[in-house]
Amino acid sequence: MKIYSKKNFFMCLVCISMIVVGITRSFSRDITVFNLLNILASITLIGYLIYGIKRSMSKKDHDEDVIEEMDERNRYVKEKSRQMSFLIIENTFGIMAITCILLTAVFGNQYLIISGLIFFLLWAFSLVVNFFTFLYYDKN
Amino acid sequence: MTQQELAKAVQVTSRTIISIENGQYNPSLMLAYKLSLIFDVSVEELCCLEDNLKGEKKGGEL
Repeated sequence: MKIYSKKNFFMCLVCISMIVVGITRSFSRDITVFNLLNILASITLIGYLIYGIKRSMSKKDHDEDVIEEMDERNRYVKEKSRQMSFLIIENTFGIMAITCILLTAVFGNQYLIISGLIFFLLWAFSLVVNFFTFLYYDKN
Repeated sequence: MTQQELAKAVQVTSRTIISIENGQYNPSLMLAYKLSLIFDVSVEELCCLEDNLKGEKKGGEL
């Protein structure tokens, strides 16, 4: 028996041991609907993790995983989706900040000023991050 | 040669090969080179670079 993906294998083992500890703790408490759902979800997750362990011990599956990870189109799609999600978040912060400021002008609610300020700071932060990452990639 | 076999030979997923065939994805220079070695053609021929250049020039004139 050989482990081809040591990282995946040990990650799965650590997760399984954490879940088992969680389940035993759930059993030691009163049985509630929440606990039962938690146990059910944990067992499902353990099944998935066992599948992960099986994959990390199969050479064919490991090779497939490596190709999926290294595939240039997959990487391109991943980068594009990250770029788009960042853009959406950045614009959402900007729109929310402006909306809150406008609503403050109309209703004069102090909570709207605070939330507007928070959105404005988040928007400014995303712009600063964008600026520095641009500088970094422009240089390298 | 099947798409799976080609994908395996150039170490990409079959989805990438399908996207290239459908014109939805432009391969990197290295992938284009690997494909050209397999099909025993030049990269220019594989990517129809001459035709694309003519098309671009025509598009620019319009």
